[in-house]
Amino acid sequence: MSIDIINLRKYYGKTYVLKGISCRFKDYQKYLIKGENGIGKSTLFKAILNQISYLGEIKVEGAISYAPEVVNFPPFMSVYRSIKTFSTLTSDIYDFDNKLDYLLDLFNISKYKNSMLGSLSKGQKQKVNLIQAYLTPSKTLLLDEPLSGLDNESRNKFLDLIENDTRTVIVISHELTHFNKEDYNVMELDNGRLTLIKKIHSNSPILSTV
Amino acid sequence: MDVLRSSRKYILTHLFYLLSKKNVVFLVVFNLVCSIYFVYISSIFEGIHTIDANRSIYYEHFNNDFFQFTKIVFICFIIFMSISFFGREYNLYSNLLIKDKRTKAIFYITKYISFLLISLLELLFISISYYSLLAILPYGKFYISSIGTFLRLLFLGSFYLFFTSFLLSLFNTHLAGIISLISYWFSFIYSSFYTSLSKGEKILLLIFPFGEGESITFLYGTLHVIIYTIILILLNILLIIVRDEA
Repeated sequence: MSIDIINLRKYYGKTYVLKGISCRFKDYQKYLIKGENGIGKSTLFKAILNQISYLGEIKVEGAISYAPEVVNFPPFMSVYRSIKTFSTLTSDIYDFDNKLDYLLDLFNISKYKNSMLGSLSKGQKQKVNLIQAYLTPSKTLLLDEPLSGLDNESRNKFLDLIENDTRTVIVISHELTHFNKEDYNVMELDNGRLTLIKKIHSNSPILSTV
Repeated sequence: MDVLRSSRKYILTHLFYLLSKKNVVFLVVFNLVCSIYFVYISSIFEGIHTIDANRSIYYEHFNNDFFQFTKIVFICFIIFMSISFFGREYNLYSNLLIKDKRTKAIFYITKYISFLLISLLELLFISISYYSLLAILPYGKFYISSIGTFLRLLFLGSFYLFFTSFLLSLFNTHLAGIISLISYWFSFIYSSFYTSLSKGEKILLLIFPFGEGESITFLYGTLHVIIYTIILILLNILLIIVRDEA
């Protein structure tokens, strides 16, 4: 297993956002989590990342890389410096410069390599956000609304990149139509509970609580 | 990668956020105002013969004005910078840096270290201004005890740093920093007529330490401030553990 969640509960004031979620995210598999706005999808990620207090237990194996939905980059940092800093916070990356050049080229932002982050558009910042998460050495990749702000070309390139990634990938997204659902276990977060809607390599949807 | 190398990267990142455009402008203006005031109180433009005749009076006057001014502006500097750096609104970048319990601990420890580093540099600037002026002024005298005064100022600054960040975490709004400012202001007023204070008012000064006079002597000793600062560090840790990131 990559991440094991046991009876996860989270409430804000008297409102329960997560009502006892128990599930296992297995190694090398891809998960797609859908749900309405404000239902607790990002809260689930924050609990996994230890960014919020919660009740229950979360066991994580290996490092996690994360691309948050809302990202606040330091405006005076260059694209190169920020990606290098954020992706190598806990461990070094072999052949970093070449890997970075490849990804910058892929997302058509090579010319901004030495530009300050404050001068980039929202979509360009999102590309930087995705690159830093993708490059971070980890066992699990958490992506919160990764397609938000991306143009069609970049979106398709990113989806290809993720589909060929061997790590455990967990994605929160509203734009489910863009994902090749054959590769993903699709889950739905509703009323504080996480439900598996479609299991990988299965043509018929399985409705069960995980 | 060892914790030390990770910490260095975290500190660098914090500094990039701490030295934002707004804060850099504030720092420049703050230091400019301080420098102008220091030069003004030094009486550097007075005639050499006038100064020569009253060296000790000029020295005492400069020393007194320098430290009375510094202890107000340095603490206010700490409080204002804390409000901008430890406010919940400013903590949005934590989601890029906190990935587990270990990185959460590194994140907060390095955040406080980065802030103390900036405070230390600011104090270094103030102390260099002080000693440089003493070196060029005819009445200038170097006393080793003034180093202790700067150190006590740093202790007082650390107390107000942890006090402000505790309030900000507790009330979840940067407006809570005003409590810190008011408490410092009250202790400043009360300490000036300490001998005529009632028991209750003296207790107030026990809660909010204040450095008296130009030597910034603590009414209840330096240990009292250090113990208070340690208690505040522990309270901050407790809040960091239980509270949610922005």
